[in-house]
Amino acid sequence: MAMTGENHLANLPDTVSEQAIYWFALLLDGSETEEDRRAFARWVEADAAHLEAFGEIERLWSGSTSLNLSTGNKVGRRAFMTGTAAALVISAGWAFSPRHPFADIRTVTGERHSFSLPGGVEAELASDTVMSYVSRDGINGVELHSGEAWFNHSATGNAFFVAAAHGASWSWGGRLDVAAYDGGVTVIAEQNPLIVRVGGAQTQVAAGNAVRYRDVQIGRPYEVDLSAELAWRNGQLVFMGRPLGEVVRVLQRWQNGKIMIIGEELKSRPVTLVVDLERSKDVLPVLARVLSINVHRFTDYLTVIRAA
Amino acid sequence: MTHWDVNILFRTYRSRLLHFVQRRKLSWHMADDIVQDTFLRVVATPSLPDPQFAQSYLFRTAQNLVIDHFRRERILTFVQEPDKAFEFVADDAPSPEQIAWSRQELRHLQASLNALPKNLRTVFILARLEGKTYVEIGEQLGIPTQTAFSRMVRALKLVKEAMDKSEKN
Repeated sequence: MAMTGENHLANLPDTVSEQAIYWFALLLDGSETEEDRRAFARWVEADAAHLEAFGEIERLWSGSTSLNLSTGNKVGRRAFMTGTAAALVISAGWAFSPRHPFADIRTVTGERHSFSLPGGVEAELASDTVMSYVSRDGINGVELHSGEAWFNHSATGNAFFVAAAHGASWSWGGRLDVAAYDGGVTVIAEQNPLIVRVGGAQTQVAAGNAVRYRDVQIGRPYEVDLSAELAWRNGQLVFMGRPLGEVVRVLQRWQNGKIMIIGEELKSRPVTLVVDLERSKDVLPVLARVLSINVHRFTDYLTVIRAA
Repeated sequence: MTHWDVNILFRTYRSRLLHFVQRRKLSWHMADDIVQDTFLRVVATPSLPDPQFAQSYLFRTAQNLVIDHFRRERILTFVQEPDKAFEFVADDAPSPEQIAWSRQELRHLQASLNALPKNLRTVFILARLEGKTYVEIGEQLGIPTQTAFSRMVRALKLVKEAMDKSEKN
Protein backbone atom coordinates (compact mmCIF):
# COMPACT_ATOMS: atom_id res chain seq x y z
CA MET A 1 0.00 0.00 0.00
CA ALA A 2 1.97 2.99 -1.22
CA MET A 3 1.63 6.02 0.95
CA THR A 4 4.21 8.10 -0.88
CA GLY A 5 4.99 11.37 0.71
CA GLU A 6 2.75 10.62 3.67
CA ASN A 7 3.88 11.76 7.04
CA HIS A 8 3.48 8.63 9.12
CA LEU A 9 3.83 10.45 12.37
CA ALA A 10 0.85 12.59 11.50
CA ASN A 11 -1.11 9.51 10.47
CA LEU A 12 -0.34 7.37 13.45
CA PRO A 13 -3.17 6.85 15.92
CA ASP A 14 -2.73 7.36 19.66
CA THR A 15 -2.69 3.89 21.15
CA VAL A 16 0.04 1.36 20.51
CA SER A 17 -2.55 -1.25 19.54
CA GLU A 18 -4.02 1.05 16.89
CA GLN A 19 -0.56 1.92 15.63
CA ALA A 20 0.16 -1.79 15.27
CA ILE A 21 -3.06 -2.22 13.28
CA TYR A 22 -2.12 0.69 11.03
CA TRP A 23 1.29 -0.81 10.30
CA PHE A 24 -0.07 -4.31 9.86
CA ALA A 25 -2.65 -3.12 7.34
CA LEU A 26 -0.08 -0.96 5.57
CA LEU A 27 2.43 -3.80 5.12
CA LEU A 28 -0.22 -6.39 4.31
CA ASP A 29 -0.22 -6.40 0.54
CA GLY A 30 3.42 -5.72 -0.17
CA SER A 31 2.97 -2.43 -2.01
CA GLU A 32 4.51 -0.25 0.68
CA THR A 33 7.27 2.21 -0.20
CA GLU A 34 10.85 2.17 0.98
CA GLU A 35 10.00 5.10 3.22
CA ASP A 36 7.10 3.15 4.77
CA ARG A 37 9.55 0.40 5.59
CA ARG A 38 12.02 2.72 7.23
CA ALA A 39 9.27 4.34 9.26
CA PHE A 40 8.01 0.94 10.37
CA ALA A 41 11.51 -0.12 11.40
CA ARG A 42 11.84 3.06 13.47
CA TRP A 43 8.49 2.35 15.12
CA VAL A 44 9.47 -1.24 15.95
CA GLU A 45 12.79 -0.20 17.41
CA ALA A 46 11.31 2.63 19.45
CA ASP A 47 9.74 0.35 22.05
CA ALA A 48 9.55 -3.38 22.76
CA ALA A 49 5.80 -3.01 23.34
CA HIS A 50 5.38 -2.05 19.69
CA LEU A 51 6.57 -5.37 18.39
CA GLU A 52 4.42 -7.19 20.90
CA ALA A 53 1.34 -5.29 19.76
CA PHE A 54 2.21 -6.03 16.14
CA GLY A 55 2.47 -9.71 17.05
CA GLU A 56 -1.04 -9.61 18.51
CA ILE A 57 -2.46 -8.41 15.21
CA GLU A 58 -0.40 -11.04 13.37
CA ARG A 59 -2.01 -13.61 15.59
CA LEU A 60 -5.56 -12.44 14.85
CA TRP A 61 -4.82 -12.48 11.15
CA SER A 62 -3.30 -15.94 11.39
CA GLY A 63 -6.23 -17.23 13.43
CA SER A 64 -8.70 -16.01 10.83
CA THR A 65 -7.08 -18.14 8.14
CA SER A 66 -8.94 -21.27 9.04
CA LEU A 67 -12.29 -19.70 9.79
CA ASN A 68 -15.35 -20.06 7.69
CA LEU A 69 -15.74 -16.69 6.05
CA SER A 70 -18.38 -17.76 3.60
CA THR A 71 -21.54 -17.87 5.72
CA GLY A 72 -24.28 -16.07 3.90
CA ASN A 73 -21.78 -14.07 1.98
CA LYS A 74 -21.53 -14.32 -1.76
CA VAL A 75 -17.98 -13.08 -1.83
CA GLY A 76 -16.80 -15.83 0.44
CA ARG A 77 -18.69 -18.47 -1.46
CA ARG A 78 -17.12 -17.32 -4.68
CA ALA A 79 -13.74 -17.49 -3.03
CA PHE A 80 -14.30 -21.13 -2.21
CA MET A 81 -15.11 -21.86 -5.81
CA THR A 82 -11.95 -20.05 -6.86
CA GLY A 83 -9.98 -22.21 -4.48
CA THR A 84 -11.43 -25.36 -5.97
CA ALA A 85 -10.60 -24.24 -9.46
CA ALA A 86 -7.04 -23.44 -8.43
CA ALA A 87 -6.65 -26.80 -6.75
CA LEU A 88 -7.94 -28.59 -9.83
CA VAL A 89 -5.59 -26.71 -12.11
CA ILE A 90 -2.70 -27.55 -9.83
CA SER A 91 -3.57 -31.20 -9.58
CA ALA A 92 -3.82 -31.45 -13.36
CA GLY A 93 -0.09 -30.77 -13.50
CA TRP A 94 0.97 -33.75 -11.42
CA ALA A 95 2.73 -36.65 -13.01
CA PHE A 96 0.73 -39.25 -11.16
CA SER A 97 -2.21 -39.44 -8.84
CA PRO A 98 -1.12 -39.83 -5.23
CA ARG A 99 -3.81 -42.44 -4.75
CA HIS A 100 -2.44 -44.73 -7.51
CA PRO A 101 -5.80 -46.33 -8.20
CA PHE A 102 -4.26 -48.84 -10.60
CA ALA A 103 -1.29 -49.94 -8.53
CA ASP A 104 -0.77 -53.71 -8.43
CA ILE A 105 0.27 -54.18 -4.81
CA ARG A 106 -0.12 -52.09 -1.70
CA THR A 107 -0.11 -52.34 2.07
CA VAL A 108 -2.20 -50.32 4.48
CA THR A 109 -0.78 -48.28 7.34
CA GLY A 110 0.71 -50.43 10.09
CA GLU A 111 0.84 -53.58 7.96
CA ARG A 112 3.86 -55.49 6.56
CA HIS A 113 3.31 -57.95 3.77
CA SER A 114 5.33 -60.32 1.51
CA PHE A 115 4.66 -60.86 -2.18
CA SER A 116 6.18 -63.07 -4.87
CA LEU A 117 6.89 -61.05 -7.98
CA PRO A 118 7.28 -62.42 -11.50
CA GLY A 119 10.87 -63.48 -12.34
CA GLY A 120 11.62 -65.11 -8.97
CA VAL A 121 11.79 -61.96 -6.86
CA GLU A 122 10.45 -61.91 -3.30
CA ALA A 123 9.25 -58.54 -2.05
CA GLU A 124 8.43 -57.43 1.45
CA LEU A 125 6.46 -54.21 1.73
CA ALA A 126 6.57 -51.89 4.74
CA SER A 127 3.57 -49.96 6.02
CA ASP A 128 1.61 -47.82 3.58
CA THR A 129 3.53 -48.86 0.47
CA VAL A 130 2.26 -48.76 -3.12
CA MET A 131 3.90 -50.51 -6.09
CA SER A 132 3.17 -51.37 -9.73
CA TYR A 133 4.66 -53.93 -12.12
CA VAL A 134 6.51 -52.30 -15.00
CA SER A 135 8.91 -53.44 -17.69
CA ARG A 136 11.70 -51.64 -19.54
CA ASP A 137 13.52 -52.99 -22.60
CA GLY A 138 11.84 -56.34 -22.00
CA ILE A 139 13.11 -56.53 -18.40
CA ASN A 140 10.59 -56.94 -15.59
CA GLY A 141 10.75 -54.64 -12.61
CA VAL A 142 8.56 -52.63 -10.29
CA GLU A 143 7.80 -48.99 -9.76
CA LEU A 144 7.67 -47.95 -6.12
CA HIS A 145 5.18 -45.07 -5.90
CA SER A 146 5.56 -44.48 -2.18
CA GLY A 147 6.69 -46.30 0.93
CA GLU A 148 9.47 -48.83 1.42
CA ALA A 149 10.11 -52.35 0.13
CA TRP A 150 12.83 -54.96 0.50
CA PHE A 151 13.58 -57.29 -2.41
CA ASN A 152 15.30 -60.64 -2.59
CA HIS A 153 16.31 -61.10 -6.19
CA SER A 154 17.62 -64.64 -6.05
CA ALA A 155 17.16 -65.73 -9.69
CA THR A 156 20.49 -64.66 -11.12
CA GLY A 157 21.01 -64.41 -14.84
CA ASN A 158 18.22 -61.89 -15.37
CA ALA A 159 18.22 -58.29 -14.36
CA PHE A 160 15.60 -56.70 -12.13
CA PHE A 161 14.97 -53.03 -11.36
CA VAL A 162 13.08 -50.86 -8.91
CA ALA A 163 12.03 -47.50 -10.33
CA ALA A 164 11.19 -44.73 -7.88
CA ALA A 165 10.73 -41.00 -8.48
CA HIS A 166 13.25 -39.91 -11.15
CA GLY A 167 15.58 -42.89 -10.95
CA ALA A 168 15.87 -46.66 -10.98
CA SER A 169 18.02 -49.21 -9.12
CA TRP A 170 19.26 -52.19 -11.13
CA SER A 171 20.15 -55.56 -9.66
CA TRP A 172 21.66 -58.66 -11.22
CA GLY A 173 20.90 -60.82 -8.23
CA GLY A 174 21.01 -59.99 -4.53
CA ARG A 175 19.04 -58.23 -1.83
CA LEU A 176 18.12 -54.55 -1.82
CA ASP A 177 15.85 -52.11 -0.02
CA VAL A 178 14.28 -49.02 -1.59
CA ALA A 179 12.44 -46.32 0.36
CA ALA A 180 10.55 -43.45 -1.30
CA TYR A 181 9.29 -40.85 1.13
CA ASP A 182 8.59 -37.16 0.71
CA GLY A 183 10.06 -36.95 -2.77
CA GLY A 184 13.45 -38.43 -1.76
CA VAL A 185 14.61 -41.99 -2.41
CA THR A 186 17.07 -44.10 -0.38
CA VAL A 187 18.47 -47.31 -1.88
CA ILE A 188 20.33 -49.89 0.23
CA ALA A 189 22.41 -52.68 -1.31
CA GLU A 190 22.21 -55.43 1.29
CA GLN A 191 23.91 -58.17 -0.70
CA ASN A 192 25.71 -57.70 -4.06
CA PRO A 193 26.27 -54.35 -5.72
CA LEU A 194 23.59 -52.32 -7.50
CA ILE A 195 23.63 -49.72 -10.23
CA VAL A 196 21.46 -46.68 -9.51
CA ARG A 197 20.61 -44.54 -12.54
CA VAL A 198 19.26 -41.05 -12.03
CA GLY A 199 18.90 -38.41 -14.73
CA GLY A 200 21.48 -39.84 -17.11
CA ALA A 201 24.13 -40.46 -14.41
CA GLN A 202 24.80 -43.82 -12.84
CA THR A 203 26.34 -44.76 -9.53
CA GLN A 204 27.53 -48.14 -8.32
CA VAL A 205 26.53 -49.00 -4.78
CA ALA A 206 28.53 -51.76 -3.08
CA ALA A 207 26.96 -54.26 -0.68
CA GLY A 208 26.48 -52.72 2.77
CA ASN A 209 26.17 -49.23 1.31
CA ALA A 210 23.29 -46.93 0.56
CA VAL A 211 22.72 -43.94 -1.69
CA ARG A 212 20.11 -41.17 -1.67
CA TYR A 213 18.64 -39.30 -4.59
CA ARG A 214 16.08 -36.56 -5.00
CA ASP A 215 14.85 -35.16 -8.33
CA VAL A 216 17.83 -35.74 -10.62
CA GLN A 217 20.48 -35.18 -7.94
CA ILE A 218 22.20 -38.25 -6.54
CA GLY A 219 24.46 -38.29 -3.49
CA ARG A 220 27.58 -40.31 -2.75
CA PRO A 221 27.19 -43.90 -1.51
CA TYR A 222 27.74 -44.23 2.24
CA GLU A 223 28.05 -47.16 4.63
CA VAL A 224 24.96 -48.17 6.60
CA ASP A 225 24.16 -50.30 9.61
CA LEU A 226 22.14 -52.95 7.80
CA SER A 227 20.66 -54.50 10.92
CA ALA A 228 19.30 -51.15 12.09
CA GLU A 229 18.11 -50.02 8.66
CA LEU A 230 16.35 -53.29 7.87
CA ALA A 231 15.01 -54.00 11.36
CA TRP A 232 11.48 -53.13 10.20
CA ARG A 233 11.39 -56.51 8.49
CA ASN A 234 11.54 -58.13 11.94
CA GLY A 235 8.86 -55.84 13.31
CA GLN A 236 11.27 -53.40 14.89
CA LEU A 237 12.40 -49.85 14.30
CA VAL A 238 15.90 -49.11 15.57
CA PHE A 239 17.16 -45.59 16.17
CA MET A 240 20.64 -44.89 17.42
CA GLY A 241 21.20 -41.29 18.39
CA ARG A 242 18.75 -40.09 15.73
CA PRO A 243 17.06 -36.69 16.06
CA LEU A 244 13.58 -36.92 17.59
CA GLY A 245 12.14 -35.25 14.48
CA GLU A 246 13.39 -38.11 12.31
CA VAL A 247 12.21 -40.75 14.81
CA VAL A 248 8.72 -39.30 14.78
CA ARG A 249 8.71 -39.06 10.98
CA VAL A 250 9.51 -42.77 10.72
CA LEU A 251 7.03 -43.74 13.47
CA GLN A 252 4.33 -41.95 11.57
CA ARG A 253 4.73 -44.23 8.62
CA TRP A 254 3.46 -47.04 10.82
CA GLN A 255 0.42 -45.42 12.36
CA ASN A 256 -2.51 -43.31 11.27
CA GLY A 257 -2.75 -39.75 12.36
CA LYS A 258 -0.19 -37.06 12.73
CA ILE A 259 2.50 -36.56 15.35
CA MET A 260 3.70 -33.01 15.60
CA ILE A 261 6.74 -31.68 17.42
CA ILE A 262 6.84 -28.08 18.48
CA GLY A 263 10.28 -26.55 18.79
CA GLU A 264 13.43 -26.91 16.71
CA GLU A 265 15.52 -27.80 19.72
CA LEU A 266 13.23 -30.69 20.59
CA LYS A 267 13.20 -31.90 16.97
CA SER A 268 16.96 -32.19 16.97
CA ARG A 269 17.29 -33.89 20.35
CA PRO A 270 19.09 -37.23 19.79
CA VAL A 271 17.16 -40.37 20.73
CA THR A 272 18.25 -44.00 21.02
CA LEU A 273 15.31 -46.32 20.90
CA VAL A 274 14.03 -49.68 19.72
CA VAL A 275 10.35 -49.71 18.84
CA ASP A 276 8.24 -52.84 18.64
CA LEU A 277 6.00 -52.18 15.66
CA GLU A 278 3.23 -54.31 17.09
CA ARG A 279 3.06 -51.86 19.96
CA SER A 280 4.18 -48.62 18.35
CA LYS A 281 1.11 -46.87 19.78
CA ASP A 282 2.63 -47.25 23.24
CA VAL A 283 5.94 -45.65 22.33
CA LEU A 284 4.98 -42.03 22.83
CA PRO A 285 4.10 -42.21 26.54
CA VAL A 286 7.42 -43.98 27.12
CA LEU A 287 9.26 -41.28 25.18
CA ALA A 288 7.47 -38.67 27.25
CA ARG A 289 8.86 -40.15 30.47
CA VAL A 290 12.38 -40.74 29.16
CA LEU A 291 12.82 -37.35 27.52
CA SER A 292 10.59 -35.43 29.94
CA ILE A 293 8.46 -34.00 27.18
CA ASN A 294 4.74 -33.33 27.02
CA VAL A 295 2.79 -35.65 24.75
CA HIS A 296 -0.70 -34.34 24.20
CA ARG A 297 -3.13 -36.49 22.24
CA PHE A 298 -5.77 -34.17 20.83
CA THR A 299 -7.67 -36.78 18.85
CA ASP A 300 -6.92 -40.11 17.23
CA TYR A 301 -5.46 -38.13 14.39
CA LEU A 302 -3.23 -35.69 16.11
CA THR A 303 -0.60 -35.90 18.81
CA VAL A 304 1.43 -32.85 19.75
CA ILE A 305 4.84 -33.16 21.42
CA ARG A 306 6.27 -30.18 23.25
CA ALA A 307 9.11 -29.50 25.65
CA ALA A 308 8.01 -30.04 29.25
CA MET B 1 -20.04 -28.03 13.70
CA THR B 2 -19.57 -29.76 10.39
CA HIS B 3 -18.14 -33.22 10.75
CA TRP B 4 -15.10 -33.95 8.63
CA ASP B 5 -13.29 -37.25 8.65
CA VAL B 6 -9.87 -35.83 9.43
CA ASN B 7 -8.26 -39.22 9.03
CA ILE B 8 -9.42 -39.55 5.45
CA LEU B 9 -8.36 -35.98 4.77
CA PHE B 10 -4.85 -36.68 6.07
CA ARG B 11 -4.48 -39.69 3.88
CA THR B 12 -5.99 -38.09 0.83
CA TYR B 13 -4.41 -34.67 0.87
CA ARG B 14 -1.18 -34.67 2.84
CA SER B 15 1.18 -35.45 -0.04
CA ARG B 16 -0.78 -33.30 -2.47
CA LEU B 17 -0.59 -30.35 -0.11
CA LEU B 18 3.14 -30.93 0.27
CA HIS B 19 3.61 -30.84 -3.50
CA PHE B 20 1.51 -27.73 -3.64
CA VAL B 21 3.42 -25.93 -0.89
CA GLN B 22 6.86 -27.01 -2.10
CA ARG B 23 6.15 -25.55 -5.50
CA ARG B 24 6.07 -22.18 -3.79
CA LYS B 25 9.86 -22.38 -3.40
CA LEU B 26 9.89 -23.39 0.25
CA SER B 27 12.31 -25.79 1.81
CA TRP B 28 11.00 -29.28 2.37
CA HIS B 29 11.22 -28.67 6.09
CA MET B 30 9.20 -25.46 5.96
CA ALA B 31 6.66 -26.99 3.58
CA ASP B 32 6.13 -29.88 5.95
CA ASP B 33 5.61 -27.46 8.82
CA ILE B 34 3.02 -25.52 6.87
CA VAL B 35 1.13 -28.66 5.89
CA GLN B 36 1.15 -29.78 9.53
CA ASP B 37 -0.17 -26.41 10.58
CA THR B 38 -2.90 -26.69 7.95
CA PHE B 39 -4.19 -29.93 9.43
CA LEU B 40 -3.86 -28.62 12.94
CA ARG B 41 -6.24 -25.83 12.00
CA VAL B 42 -8.71 -28.35 10.65
CA VAL B 43 -8.72 -30.04 14.02
CA ALA B 44 -9.11 -26.76 15.90
CA THR B 45 -11.60 -24.88 13.73
CA PRO B 46 -15.08 -24.75 15.27
CA SER B 47 -17.06 -23.99 12.12
CA LEU B 48 -15.67 -25.81 9.13
CA PRO B 49 -17.33 -25.32 5.77
CA ASP B 50 -19.40 -28.10 4.27
CA PRO B 51 -17.29 -31.24 3.61
CA GLN B 52 -17.76 -30.80 -0.13
CA PHE B 53 -15.46 -27.79 0.21
CA ALA B 54 -12.83 -29.74 2.15
CA GLN B 55 -10.33 -29.73 -0.70
CA SER B 56 -10.58 -26.05 -1.48
CA TYR B 57 -10.55 -25.24 2.23
CA LEU B 58 -7.32 -27.18 2.80
CA PHE B 59 -5.57 -25.71 -0.22
CA ARG B 60 -6.72 -22.22 0.64
CA THR B 61 -5.53 -22.54 4.22
CA ALA B 62 -2.13 -23.86 3.11
CA GLN B 63 -1.83 -21.10 0.54
CA ASN B 64 -2.66 -18.45 3.15
CA LEU B 65 -0.08 -19.87 5.51
CA VAL B 66 2.53 -19.71 2.76
CA ILE B 67 1.61 -16.11 2.02
CA ASP B 68 1.73 -15.24 5.73
CA HIS B 69 5.13 -16.90 6.04
CA PHE B 70 6.63 -14.93 3.18
CA ARG B 71 5.06 -11.72 4.42
CA ARG B 72 6.59 -12.19 7.86
CA GLU B 73 9.98 -12.88 6.30
CA ARG B 74 9.67 -9.81 4.12
CA ILE B 75 8.71 -7.53 7.02
CA LEU B 76 11.64 -8.87 9.01
CA THR B 77 14.04 -7.62 6.41
CA PHE B 78 12.98 -4.02 7.10
CA VAL B 79 13.80 -4.24 10.75
CA GLN B 80 17.37 -3.37 11.69
CA GLU B 81 17.68 -5.72 14.63
CA PRO B 82 16.80 -9.19 13.44
CA ASP B 83 17.26 -10.62 16.95
CA LYS B 84 14.53 -8.44 18.26
CA ALA B 85 12.29 -9.04 15.31
CA PHE B 86 12.86 -12.75 15.55
CA GLU B 87 10.37 -12.87 18.37
CA PHE B 88 7.36 -12.56 16.14
CA VAL B 89 8.53 -14.81 13.38
CA ALA B 90 7.10 -18.24 13.92
CA ASP B 91 9.88 -20.41 12.60
CA ASP B 92 8.40 -23.35 14.39
CA ALA B 93 5.77 -25.75 13.30
CA PRO B 94 3.01 -25.31 13.94
CA SER B 95 3.24 -21.72 14.98
CA PRO B 96 2.98 -21.75 18.76
CA GLU B 97 0.39 -19.00 18.70
CA GLN B 98 -1.77 -21.21 16.54
CA ILE B 99 -1.69 -24.06 19.03
CA ALA B 100 -2.63 -21.52 21.62
CA TRP B 101 -5.89 -20.81 19.81
CA SER B 102 -8.46 -22.66 21.80
CA ARG B 103 -11.73 -23.63 20.20
CA GLN B 104 -13.46 -21.07 22.34
CA GLU B 105 -11.14 -18.32 21.14
CA LEU B 106 -11.68 -19.32 17.53
CA ARG B 107 -15.44 -19.20 18.15
CA HIS B 108 -15.05 -15.66 19.48
CA LEU B 109 -12.93 -14.70 16.50
CA GLN B 110 -15.50 -16.15 14.11
CA ALA B 111 -18.26 -14.25 15.91
CA SER B 112 -16.34 -10.98 15.76
CA LEU B 113 -15.76 -11.42 12.02
CA ASN B 114 -19.43 -12.24 11.48
CA ALA B 115 -20.38 -9.10 13.40
CA LEU B 116 -18.34 -6.77 11.17
CA PRO B 117 -20.35 -4.26 9.13
CA LYS B 118 -20.74 -5.68 5.65
CA ASN B 119 -18.53 -3.12 3.87
CA LEU B 120 -15.62 -3.76 6.25
CA ARG B 121 -16.14 -7.50 6.26
CA THR B 122 -16.03 -7.64 2.47
CA VAL B 123 -12.63 -5.92 2.39
CA PHE B 124 -11.31 -8.25 5.10
CA ILE B 125 -12.51 -11.34 3.25
CA LEU B 126 -11.10 -10.25 -0.11
CA ALA B 127 -7.70 -9.70 1.46
CA ARG B 128 -7.72 -12.81 3.63
CA LEU B 129 -9.43 -15.37 1.44
CA GLU B 130 -8.26 -14.24 -1.94
CA GLY B 131 -5.06 -12.42 -1.02
CA LYS B 132 -6.11 -9.37 -3.00
CA THR B 133 -4.18 -6.11 -2.81
CA TYR B 134 -5.86 -2.83 -1.82
CA VAL B 135 -5.68 -1.70 -5.44
CA GLU B 136 -7.50 -4.85 -6.59
CA ILE B 137 -10.06 -4.60 -3.79
CA GLY B 138 -10.69 -0.96 -4.70
CA GLU B 139 -11.22 -1.87 -8.33
CA GLN B 140 -13.53 -4.75 -7.49
CA LEU B 141 -15.70 -2.74 -5.12
CA GLY B 142 -15.49 0.53 -7.05
CA ILE B 143 -13.91 2.43 -4.15
CA PRO B 144 -10.59 4.33 -3.92
CA THR B 145 -7.53 2.32 -2.86
CA GLN B 146 -7.17 4.52 0.19
CA THR B 147 -10.74 3.67 1.24
CA ALA B 148 -10.04 -0.07 0.93
CA PHE B 149 -7.01 0.43 3.19
CA SER B 150 -8.88 2.44 5.82
CA ARG B 151 -11.71 -0.13 5.84
CA MET B 152 -9.16 -2.82 6.56
CA VAL B 153 -7.78 -0.74 9.43
CA ARG B 154 -11.30 -0.33 10.85
CA ALA B 155 -12.11 -4.01 10.40
CA LEU B 156 -8.96 -5.03 12.27
CA LYS B 157 -9.70 -2.51 15.00
CA LEU B 158 -13.23 -3.84 15.57
CA VAL B 159 -12.03 -7.45 15.60
CA LYS B 160 -9.24 -6.60 18.03
CA GLU B 161 -11.64 -4.75 20.34
CA ALA B 162 -14.15 -7.61 20.30
CA MET B 163 -11.41 -10.11 21.09
CA ASP B 164 -10.03 -7.97 23.93
CA LYS B 165 -13.52 -7.76 25.38
CA SER B 166 -14.13 -11.51 25.20
CA GLU B 167 -10.77 -12.07 26.86
CA LYS B 168 -11.81 -9.89 29.80
CA ASN B 169 -15.05 -11.81 30.28
